[in-house]
Amino acid sequence: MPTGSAAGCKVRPAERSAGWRGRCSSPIANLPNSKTLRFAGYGFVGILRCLTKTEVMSDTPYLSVHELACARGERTLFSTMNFQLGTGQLLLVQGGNGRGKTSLLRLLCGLAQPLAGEVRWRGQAIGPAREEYHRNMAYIGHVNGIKDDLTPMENLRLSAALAGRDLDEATATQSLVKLGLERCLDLPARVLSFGQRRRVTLAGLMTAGALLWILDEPLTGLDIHGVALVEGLLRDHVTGGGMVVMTTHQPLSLDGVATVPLQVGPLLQPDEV
Amino acid sequence: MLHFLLTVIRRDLLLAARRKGDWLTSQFFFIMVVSMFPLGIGPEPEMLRRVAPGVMWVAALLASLLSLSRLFAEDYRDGSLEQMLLSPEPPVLLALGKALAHWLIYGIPLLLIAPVLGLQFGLPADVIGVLMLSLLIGTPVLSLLGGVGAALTLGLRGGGVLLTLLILPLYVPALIFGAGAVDSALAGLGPEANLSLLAAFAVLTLMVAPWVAASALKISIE
Repeated sequence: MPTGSAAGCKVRPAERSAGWRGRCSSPIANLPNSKTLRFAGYGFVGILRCLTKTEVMSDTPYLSVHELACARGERTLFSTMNFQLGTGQLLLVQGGNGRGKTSLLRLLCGLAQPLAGEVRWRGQAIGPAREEYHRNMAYIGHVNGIKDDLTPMENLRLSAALAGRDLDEATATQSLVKLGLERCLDLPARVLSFGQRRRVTLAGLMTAGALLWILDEPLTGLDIHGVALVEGLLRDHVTGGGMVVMTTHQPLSLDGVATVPLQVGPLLQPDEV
Repeated sequence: MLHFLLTVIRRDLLLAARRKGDWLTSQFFFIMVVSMFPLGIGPEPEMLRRVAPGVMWVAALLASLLSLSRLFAEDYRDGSLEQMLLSPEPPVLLALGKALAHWLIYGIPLLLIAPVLGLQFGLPADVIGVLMLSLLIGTPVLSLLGGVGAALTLGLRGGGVLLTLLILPLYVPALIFGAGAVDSALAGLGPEANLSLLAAFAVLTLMVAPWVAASALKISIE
């Protein structure tokens, strides 16, 4: 199997997996200091700090990745990637443009097939465990997945029905209002702005009740209030025992959230940019 | 499982109801194509009666092709196809549901317009009955096979033309048996043989096409 010549995958958490998975005392109380971590454009020191912060974790690896390799066309994006994710953790996938972050996320959801290796949900490959895995997983990709001809409310209820859940109108309204869409409840999504549509998708994520969130650039198009809302959602979800795998290029302040960074491709040094 | 299938169908019906323009285009296309033939080949009643079955069936094939390129394309573009594929239910139900919804939206109206157009060609009442029956059995085949083509050409540039080239040959058996049934009714022979063969082809398509379309979808979306 050719390893990525250009990409040269570094999977830091895997090297340390024994470290951050092994010990199991209270995840948050042990943190040396909970100052706001800025994730955008931090260098090596930042990664080390993160790793020390996240050494203490719960020990149930729900999602695990074994010797994963991914190729787009002729080019290998990454290979021999290993990591595990337990409840109450947020995996922040980092890397420059075109390094394979989105490809990794699509492999994790099962929308794409890996070149080698496998993704496992509770120890079982996601192929055979597809039904249970998809019941517990919610994915937000680059496109929002909402229909332009339907209102936000209809969109939410429709996607709930397709996922086999029952979503009553009150709950749907509540989540839409929480995301600041109270004025758009009866408008077709066609007339909403890009950021508002993103919010509809996020409201859907809230009501999905999934254990694992896989989010590809969830902050795209959101204003500062929206970013703060998403930070709140992520914090609630992770501290409530959920799991998140996400990519973002924006700074996120997630104090008290157990964050595991995962580098795809070479490290971006701020001074090189 | 049934719930998911019904939800997919209901979803597509709702979306079609919100976009009546797309829906009407296909029906008017059918009417236009069929109405062009008498203008082109002259008003002789005997001649018109002879060509009517073939003309109606070919027009139905073309009309269904017209709408098929949109079957998955819009859901693919706005990301809802991805989301539906990530549902816990198997993708084959998604493919089947989409094809059935396509039949309800585009197939059934053809069936209802056909008698009027049949009168235009001077077909007798009993032959019009056979025509409707053949379309009733045959149009699901068009939607199911079309679903395979739409899934295969998803996301390709010029997918619409490619879809036509891929799918029209597969429609040949439906065309032969469907138009053949009407022809034999017109000739005073029983249409049963042709209708039975058409029904057999429909059952075969129903058994195979959703699985092929589901696999094609999974490949196309990668």
